[in-house]
Amino acid sequence: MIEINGVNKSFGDIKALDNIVATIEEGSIFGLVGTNGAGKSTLLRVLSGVLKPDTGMAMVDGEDVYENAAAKSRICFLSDTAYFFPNATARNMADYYAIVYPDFNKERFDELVGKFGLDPKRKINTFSKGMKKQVSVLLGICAQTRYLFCDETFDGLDPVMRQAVKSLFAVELLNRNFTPVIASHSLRELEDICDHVGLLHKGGILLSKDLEDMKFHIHKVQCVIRNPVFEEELLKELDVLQHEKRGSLLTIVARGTKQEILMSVEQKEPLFYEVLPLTLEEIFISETEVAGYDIKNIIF
Amino acid sequence: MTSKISFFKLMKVEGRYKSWLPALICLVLFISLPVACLLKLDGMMSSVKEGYLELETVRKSFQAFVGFGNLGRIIVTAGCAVVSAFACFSYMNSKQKVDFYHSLPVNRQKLFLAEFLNGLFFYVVPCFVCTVICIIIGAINSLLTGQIFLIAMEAFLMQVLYYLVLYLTGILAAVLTGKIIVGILAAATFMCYGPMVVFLIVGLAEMSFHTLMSVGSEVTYDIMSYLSPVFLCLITEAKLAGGETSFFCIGWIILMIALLFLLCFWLYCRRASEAAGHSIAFPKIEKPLKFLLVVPCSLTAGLLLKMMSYGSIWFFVGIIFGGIILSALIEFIYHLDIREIFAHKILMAAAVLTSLLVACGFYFDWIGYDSYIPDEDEIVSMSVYNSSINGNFYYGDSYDIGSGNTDIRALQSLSVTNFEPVYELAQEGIARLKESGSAYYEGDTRFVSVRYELAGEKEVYRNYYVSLEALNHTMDELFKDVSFRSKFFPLLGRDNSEVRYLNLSSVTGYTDLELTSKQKEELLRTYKEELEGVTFETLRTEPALGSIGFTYESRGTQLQMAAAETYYGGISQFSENYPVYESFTGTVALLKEYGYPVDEQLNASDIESVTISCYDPEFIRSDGMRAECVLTSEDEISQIAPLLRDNMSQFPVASNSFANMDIMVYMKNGNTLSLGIKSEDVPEFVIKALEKEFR
Repeated sequence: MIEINGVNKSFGDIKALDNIVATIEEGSIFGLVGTNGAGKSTLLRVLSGVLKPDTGMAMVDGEDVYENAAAKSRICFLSDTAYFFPNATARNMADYYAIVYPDFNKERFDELVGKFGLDPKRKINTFSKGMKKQVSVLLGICAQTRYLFCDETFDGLDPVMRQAVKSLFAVELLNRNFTPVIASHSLRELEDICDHVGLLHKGGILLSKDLEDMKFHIHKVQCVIRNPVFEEELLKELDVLQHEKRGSLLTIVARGTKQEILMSVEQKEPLFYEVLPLTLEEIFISETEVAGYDIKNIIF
Repeated sequence: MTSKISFFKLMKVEGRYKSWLPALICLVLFISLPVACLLKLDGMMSSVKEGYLELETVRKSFQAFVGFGNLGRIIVTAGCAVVSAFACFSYMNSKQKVDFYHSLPVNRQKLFLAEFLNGLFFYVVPCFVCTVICIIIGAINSLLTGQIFLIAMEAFLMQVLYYLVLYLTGILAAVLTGKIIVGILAAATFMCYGPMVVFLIVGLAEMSFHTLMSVGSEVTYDIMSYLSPVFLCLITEAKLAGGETSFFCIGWIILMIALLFLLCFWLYCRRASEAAGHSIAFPKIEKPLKFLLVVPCSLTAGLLLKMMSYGSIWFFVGIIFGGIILSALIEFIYHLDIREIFAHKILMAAAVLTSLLVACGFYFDWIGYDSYIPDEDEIVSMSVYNSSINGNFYYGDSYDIGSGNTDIRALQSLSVTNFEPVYELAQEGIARLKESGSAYYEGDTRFVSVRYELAGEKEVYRNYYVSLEALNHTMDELFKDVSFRSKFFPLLGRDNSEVRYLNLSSVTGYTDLELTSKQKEELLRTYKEELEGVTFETLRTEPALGSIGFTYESRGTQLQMAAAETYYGGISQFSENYPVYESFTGTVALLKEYGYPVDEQLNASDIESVTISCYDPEFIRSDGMRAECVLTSEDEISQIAPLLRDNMSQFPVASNSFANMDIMVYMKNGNTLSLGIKSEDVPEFVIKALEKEFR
């Protein structure tokens, strides 16, 4: 488990992390979402032990991670711009990782490099950006660490590779104690892979929730109710996050289970009603508008 | 945590990805050591085969190359050290690399040690191999001896120590900064800051204090060696090359290595990862660093401007401008933004103000340096030195190998406990300075150096301009003490066996004295007895018949002597000339007995002509030519011949009573003599001839 207890981090006058309190449970894929400059990379660096928090503590399995080789041995950090030794090949990097991560699985690495179509003897500095990302991800996965921190890892990967990496994560999750933490500014990218999502904005955590839980308890309904009085009553009965009327079509985003919401709608003798799927983006916007943030301006 | 085995694996793999560094060091060392050795010896051995050169000379040259004093090797070592430091530790300047390395499950301590040891081995191993190759080259050429082998190994170990000190200085610069260019500037600053401050203080003191006496370069260099790693290496190497067993210097190097290592280690572990890419890695030191740089540099700028100009105002103008410009430059280096160059104006103002205060302190002598004179009851002894009076002699060990400043040695040798006459002289000098506001020579003033020995072996040195009258009075008083006379004439304190050669100079010319041991002993004994009784009045007024030159060899330890043979081609010699007066009857008689009469006058009939040129101001024409007359008549030559004196034999202070004339005597046998004449002895016909020629 990763515990972040009141972590603050500033760079000069810039407050990068503002009293972050969060928990990342083991065995789930945690998505860290936020705009540019929200503090995602900073938080990952703090969790990796690269940066020392000004106050507070980042703990991995109960141990402070900063300058703690034992705690760091459970973590592999994949930076947004990975570093490779000059003129090193994928195999060279694997040899280095095998020294610093004793559980590094060389055979699996060679196998995956082959599957991804990468030449293990070719110099990495001749690879494209996407290929370098692939090597970085494969090194991270084969390090066999308990936690894998990925900073904007999926950027630069083509859709096919993105899916391939996601399926790799899924396989790792099934086979061992593995908890990836993926930072991205794209909600759409995280939607189909993450179990748990945290939203960072201006160095603070706005929300941190289980995705299924979020989806289970927020629904979007479109309906047509002839009686305006019933319409009013429906809006009052439901825990409405957002509603919009276009002509006679009423669209409501409300908190509650699907059954609860539909029961209320049915009682109002609608001419028509249906439940529409909510994207993660719509859920976030709804949640954060309640919190007073005009999230439309900060998530794109 | 990485195991012990993986630490060495980590070192090995880190080294593998810096393989260009050991390759470069190997190449540089190979060229500067074995190749250079071969090139040097090739020509010399050919000369040996052809009989132009002795093998022993080549051996000494080889020893100088592989031993101490090889300046080129130190320069190469310094270059390798700085390059290694930045190659191993500049990863901290890259955010990308810092993310990589600092996220690894390796403690900073281990990472530091792995990089440090790699950088060390990259130099030590090739240096050792190249040294061994040089030794083999020496052996092949029959130049190697057991002693040379040992010296070569000692020199190698010293090179490793120099490398460590310079390498750690480079690491310190790399750790404190976040950009490689700034790091290189920082390394250069660390190497030069201490010596720069020392030179600055010396420069300010020399500019401002009229009574300042320089204590000599060796003291300055010693101070600089404590303040600068590169000076420490150079001065230690110079001392070792000179045969000095400098345990103190070596100990200081080792201490500096230990301190630097601990400092680098501590700072490295504390350095924030986010410092990568920032000019200064520790923001808290930015302001103190700026202050510490602006103050001495602005003072230096002021000094330089003062040297290039006439008025003192430029000194202060230089400080202000230099301070502002340097402050702006430092801010630019910190932020790399031209808009920030006048950030922290208050700090800039404080630094410039501090510089101005320091400058005023020196310029207006706020500390009372020039007016300082210890209380008499604080003084243990005093001494006085004047180049006209004492300049002929080598006091104490002043010409021995490694002895340093000769004036200091002289003052230390001439100290007297009955110092009242010298004290009064010093008071006169201070009063004269106070009255005139500056120190300068005019008319009858003389320049003297004075040493005060205080309780606790503390020494104070000052220079004064004093009147000739006061100086003569002081010397007259001091000469009343026979123990002072023994100190004044170093010959009286030297053993006769130290005298290697004797020569005689008189009006008839110069000659070496070829004497038996017994004759030499007798001459020395007699001369010393007569010299001991001479008064200062004799020295300054009586013309000497001639002078005896005594030649000695410089002394030193066995090591120093060996070093002088090796590095300088031999032991140096020095000579002192002592006057022979008419009153030295015993000496004159002995010299005559041995066939070297000193009291012979010039035989007028042997003289072809006498040319006299006068350099009195009233006899120098507007075109700078001196008035000159030539005497050719027998009558004139016979009148002037007995009045002529040997210039070289006169005690320097006595030359004041001699006329400002160059007298060239052309002998009939083709010899030429350069002589002088007392002012009161100049014949009237000579003056008339000069006046006629001048018009």
